[in-house]
Amino acid sequence: MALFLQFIIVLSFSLFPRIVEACAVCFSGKEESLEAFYLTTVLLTLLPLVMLSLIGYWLYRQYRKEENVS
Amino acid sequence: MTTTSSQSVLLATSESSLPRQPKRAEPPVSSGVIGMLLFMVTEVMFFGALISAYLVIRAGLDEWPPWGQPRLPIETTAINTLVLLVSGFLMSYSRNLFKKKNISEGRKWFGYSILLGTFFFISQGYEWAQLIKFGLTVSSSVYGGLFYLIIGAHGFHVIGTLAFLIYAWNRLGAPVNPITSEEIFPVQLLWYFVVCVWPVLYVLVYLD
Repeated sequence: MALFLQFIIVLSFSLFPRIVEACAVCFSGKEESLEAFYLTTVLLTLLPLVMLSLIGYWLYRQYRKEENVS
Repeated sequence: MTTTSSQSVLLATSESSLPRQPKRAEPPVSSGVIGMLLFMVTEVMFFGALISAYLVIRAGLDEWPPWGQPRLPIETTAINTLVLLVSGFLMSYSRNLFKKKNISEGRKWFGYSILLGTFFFISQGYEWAQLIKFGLTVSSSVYGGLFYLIIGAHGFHVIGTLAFLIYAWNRLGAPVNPITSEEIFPVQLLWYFVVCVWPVLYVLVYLD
């Protein structure tokens, strides 16, 4: 019963939606700051993916080359 | 002379009596190189984070560089940048000589590359001393703080890699327990990284 009540209370929060701004700087800063945030977020997200993919592909090529020789 | 039972066991298990094991094939890429490549990924992320912090802080300020702060020596650092790039080129040239088994000649150009790297480091140190004299310190402004953080991080990488390179140069072809030209390739890779990241920092911090 207690669990059910907790569930209902938590569910009732969805009746009063509000916008939550997790990062105050991101939404209240200048336009230039916003652009810098977006740009650097994209940069730091894509960098490891690109680098690890390139290294993986390069290793694959090296091993394939070795197989073809032998 | 008769052999005891323990001696006969030793004879039976000696190297000559064992069936010949097939020679283990060399992997196309050494573990050292793979390890260094993964380390370089973390290094790129480290510098990526510093650059990101620089861009975000800079974007939030109206005036850059801030008023009253000394300007950075663009021309002197341009010459330094050229010296570092030549050092990277010489490192690549020595690598080619090592591949052709011309170890003594390769070692010579490897040494020249280290010398140019050392010149870069000393010259940057002199530049820092001048900037501190003119009032640009870590605590003077966010400009000074970012400058010393980013350029200092690169400087630490230069001195660390140079220490490894000098050690490798010393041990290359040493009479006792030498290291091979293949074994120093990971450190050469690290030097390429240090050389390649500098022009990015130069354009970003000095020119932009």
